[in-house]
This record gives sequence, structure tokens and C-alpha cells, in this order.
Amino acid sequence: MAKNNEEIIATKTEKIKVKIKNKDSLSKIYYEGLWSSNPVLIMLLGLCPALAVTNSGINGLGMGVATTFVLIMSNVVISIFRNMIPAKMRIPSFIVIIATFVTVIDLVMEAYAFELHKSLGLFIPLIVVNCIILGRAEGFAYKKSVFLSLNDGFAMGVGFTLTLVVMGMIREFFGAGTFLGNPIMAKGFSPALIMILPPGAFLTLGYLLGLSHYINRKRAERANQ
Amino acid sequence: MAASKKDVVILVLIAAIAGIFLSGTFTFTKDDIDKAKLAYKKKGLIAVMPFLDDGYQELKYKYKEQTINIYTVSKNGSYKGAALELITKEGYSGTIKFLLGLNENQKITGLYILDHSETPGLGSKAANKEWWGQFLEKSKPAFTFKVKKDGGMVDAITASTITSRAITNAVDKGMDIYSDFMKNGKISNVTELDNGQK
Amino acid sequence: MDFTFLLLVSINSIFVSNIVFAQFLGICPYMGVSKKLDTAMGMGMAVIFVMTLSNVITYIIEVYILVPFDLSFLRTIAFILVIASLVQFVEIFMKKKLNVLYQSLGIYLPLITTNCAILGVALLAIQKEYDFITSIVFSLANGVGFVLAIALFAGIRERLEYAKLPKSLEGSPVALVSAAIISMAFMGFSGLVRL
Repeated sequence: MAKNNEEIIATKTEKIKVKIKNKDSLSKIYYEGLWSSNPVLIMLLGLCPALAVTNSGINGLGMGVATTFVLIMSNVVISIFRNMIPAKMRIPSFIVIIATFVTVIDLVMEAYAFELHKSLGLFIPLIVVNCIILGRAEGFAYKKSVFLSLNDGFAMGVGFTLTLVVMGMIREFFGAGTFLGNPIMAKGFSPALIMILPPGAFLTLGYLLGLSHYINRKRAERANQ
Repeated sequence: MAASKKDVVILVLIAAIAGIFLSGTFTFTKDDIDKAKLAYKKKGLIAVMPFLDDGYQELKYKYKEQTINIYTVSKNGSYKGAALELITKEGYSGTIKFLLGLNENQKITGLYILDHSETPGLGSKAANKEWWGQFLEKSKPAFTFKVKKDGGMVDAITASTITSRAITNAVDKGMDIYSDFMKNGKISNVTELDNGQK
Repeated sequence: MDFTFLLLVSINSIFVSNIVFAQFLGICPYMGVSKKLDTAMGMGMAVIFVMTLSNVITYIIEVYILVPFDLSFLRTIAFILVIASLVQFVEIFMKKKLNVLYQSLGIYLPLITTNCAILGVALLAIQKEYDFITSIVFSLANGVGFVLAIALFAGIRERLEYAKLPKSLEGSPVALVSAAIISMAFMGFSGLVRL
């Protein structure tokens, strides 16, 4: 029994509707990951690495990339098996999966990026307790499709990485006078060492948060006018 | 935690798969990790021993009650020099570990800080050639290895006398160890060494 | 038993290398829970308990299972599972046997699993190659350091409620700037202990 035209058109329309919905979701995902739900600035997650490894732009980038890897892989794997992972055991399951990918990136970095691995030190295994990853696993990957989860992981990861790189570059510039490891200030420039030390981390993040609050408030005010 | 038996089985299964996957990754990266560790160690050795181009021999030398790691270098049968791994606990914030390079004439060829917790911007300046460069080509007894405050010839880092003193005194001891090694260490074995070892 | 060494390790962990202000561990719950002094103390006590207990277990696993069988690469997974399970058991135990305590502390327990301080301290004790007794003292001291940090902070934040601040800086920004100042103060302890 051949399908008549109406049915064919109906199914096609349905497919396009879903596609549009997904397309909307995709840009929504990226907007959220990079800005409106920025893991560090808005959701206040992943603060430990954000403070600890941003003493230089490269370190911030390295940590961001490593975390993004774990975020994407765990999101994808959890999404693929989301119907098989038992609800009552989901947190331990998530932890095992996340910890596996953390160990993978730990070994890979030790083998192929030894100096970066040494700089980041303890904070590479600590990626496993980065609340961003568990949060996205529970709140997104466990419920949504693999494609969306992959993008969400990527978006959140990039948002996290960008924040860390910005922090790293600020601290590096004021604290050591360098840009990504290259000295760019004249010899007479006496860097504010405090910036690459713990207080500098708190200070930079505090003001960055203040800045993002300011921007969001201004936008809300404009939206209300 | 009212989880059914089936749930627990699935969790164990996930853990088992993870374990296998990780063992595979570990085996795959093991050699490269060892290579990377070796290259990192060599970086310090090359920094203090400009005469090192390929091979070195790692020894443990007993001096008084201490065991020191010494890395010796020979080229074409003749002894060129060595690097000593020295430790001092007298740093401002604790232990400082560094490599001291010496040539066959017992003159210093380099200094490379391996590990320290000194104050950034102050004691940490000990790692800069601007400070330790003053040790190059120096040897005992022509040069007195003590900070100027203690009657020696070494310029201390401004506002970091304790760090400077700790390292200088350790260098002083290191010179004694090395001269003892040159006299009593099995230098004859070293000259039999071939380029390309390690 | 070298008590001097243990004392030095404790002073180092509480003041010189304070877990929050110098090591950057335990910041997330720190920001969330330090708004009022009594909630801060509650979290702090729970942390001390879980931190010390988990360190005991992870140490045993490291020494008797991971190292002898050359399984160091499984450390991250093993440790975090131990911590997560420990927190579950503690929560259940508390609910049944120590219900009064559970009422005040219980809600903080799930948050502790993802507290990087717990895993961080467990890993640090291994990294520093401390023996069994020293690592217990180490984790206990770090817990105390955490409580100190959180108590100091809660006290300040309660006062900050009444301060007039630029609107954008209210809440977490000013909290972080205050943390910066406290961190600077703690830097004054450097050089106090030579380990």
C-alpha cells in the first residue's frame, strides 16, 4: 500500500520541525555554554581549577582542553548508554565513567605533554570532582540525545576554557609581564607578583565575576526598558 | 539505597569495562611516559653539563653517611665531568634540590634547580643565571663558597640571604664530595664508557 | 613517633599551606556554605570527619592494592569511588543512628563527595609519601585548616551583608576579593615551617 502524498508531506514536515527544534537547541546550547550559563562565571562551578591553574595562559588553556575532553567523552558515553544506566545507581556510574576519561587524559598528558602535566599536577586527577562534568551528566547527558550531549559538552568546555584562558592571561600579564610565556614588557616593568600567587587568583576571579554581573544587569535593564 | 540486584550488576559491569579500557590505555602510553620522564631529567643534566651530548652514566656515590646521585659523562674514552644531585634542608621554606655540574678540572659548569618552595620573586631568583652564574668556572680553594655575610665571596640575592646561604653551603659541600669522588671514585671504570650509553 | 614532625605537618597544613587559601581546594562548597557561621561550622565538621576517614581507607588501598599490583593508574577511580561510597554509608549511618546530628549536618554530606578538598588531600598524602600515622595527622590538620578558613570567612561575610557595595560586586565577587585579602594575610605564615 503506497503512502499517499499527504502522509509523505506530513512526515516530511514533522522531520523538518524536529530539525528546526534541534537547530534552535544547538545555538541555544552554545549560547548557554559560552555565556548565559557559563560554568565558572554564572554557575560558579569548577572554581578550584579556575583559581589554581590560571597562573599562566598556557596552564589555563591546558586545563581547559583536558576538562573539555573529559566533558565531551563522558557526556557522549553517558548519553549513549542512558537507557541502560540504572536510575538508582546513576551517580556512581557517572563517577566511574568520568574517572575513566580523567585517567585517560592524565596518562596521555604525562606521555605527550610532560611539562604541562607537571605544571597542572594534582589538578588533572581533580577534574573528576569538577562539578561541571557531573552536573552536565546528570542534567543533560542522561536525558538528551548523543548529538546534543556532544555539543553541550563541547559548548560548556569551551566556555570553561575561555574563562580560564582569560584569567590566565590577565594574571600572567600583571604578575610576570609575559603573554603566553613570552616577555612583552620592557625590563623596567616590575610585575605585581601577587597576581600569580593565590591572592591574585581570588582577586582576578572576583573582579571578572563582578564584570559579568555588571554586563548582565545592564542587559536586563535594557530589556526592561 | 534501595537498588536492585540487577542495578548492582550493571554498575560492576561498567567498572569492569572501565578497568579493561584503562589497562589498555596504560599499556599504550607506558613507554612514552617513561621516555618523557627521561627527557625531562636529561634537560636538567644538559643544562649543567654543556659537554653532555648523548650518553651519561648514573651512579650512586657514598660520602660519609650520605648517598649522592652522580651522573658522569665521558667522551671517546676521556672523562669530561659529572653532575651531582644535591639537597639542602636549610632553605627559607624547606628543602631545595638542585643539580651541580662540574668538569674534569673540578670547575663548576652549571647549576639547575630541580625543586624548591622558596618565595616567588625573592628566593626563587636562585634559579636565574643572573645569580648562580657567579659560580661558573669557580673552584676550591681559589673561590670561597660562602655568602659575603659569612666571610665568603658569594653575592647573596637581595632580601634572600637564607636561600642564597642554603644553596651556597650545599655547593660548598658538593665541591668536597666531588673532589673525594675524583680521588676515590671508580674513575677508571668511567673512562671505559662508550658514547651512546643511555 | 616523631611528634615534632607531626606538629610541624599540622601547623603547615592549617596555616602555611592552608587548604583553601594556598592550595585552592574546597572552594566550591566554601563559596556556597560560608554565608552563615553555623552552617559553615556544620560543613566544616562533616569535612573533617570524611576527610580523615577517607584518607585512612585510600591510604590502605594505595599501599596494599595499587602499589603491589602496579595499578597506580587506577588511583583516581579507586579513590573517588571510596570517597563517594564512604559518604553514602556515613549518610545512611547518621540517618539511622545519629539522627540529631543528621538533622544539622546531613544535607552537607552529598556536597562533600564533589568537594575537591577530600580527593585532593588523599592524593597529596600519597604524593608527599607520608607514612600511615603522618597522613592521618595530615588529613586531620587539613580538615581543621578548612574549618578555620570557612569560619573566618563566614564571620566576614555576615558583616559584609551590612556594607554598602557597588551592585555588581555584591555576593560572590566581594566574597572572592575578601578571600584574596585573607589569602594575603595567610602568606605571612610562609617560612614558619621548614619541612
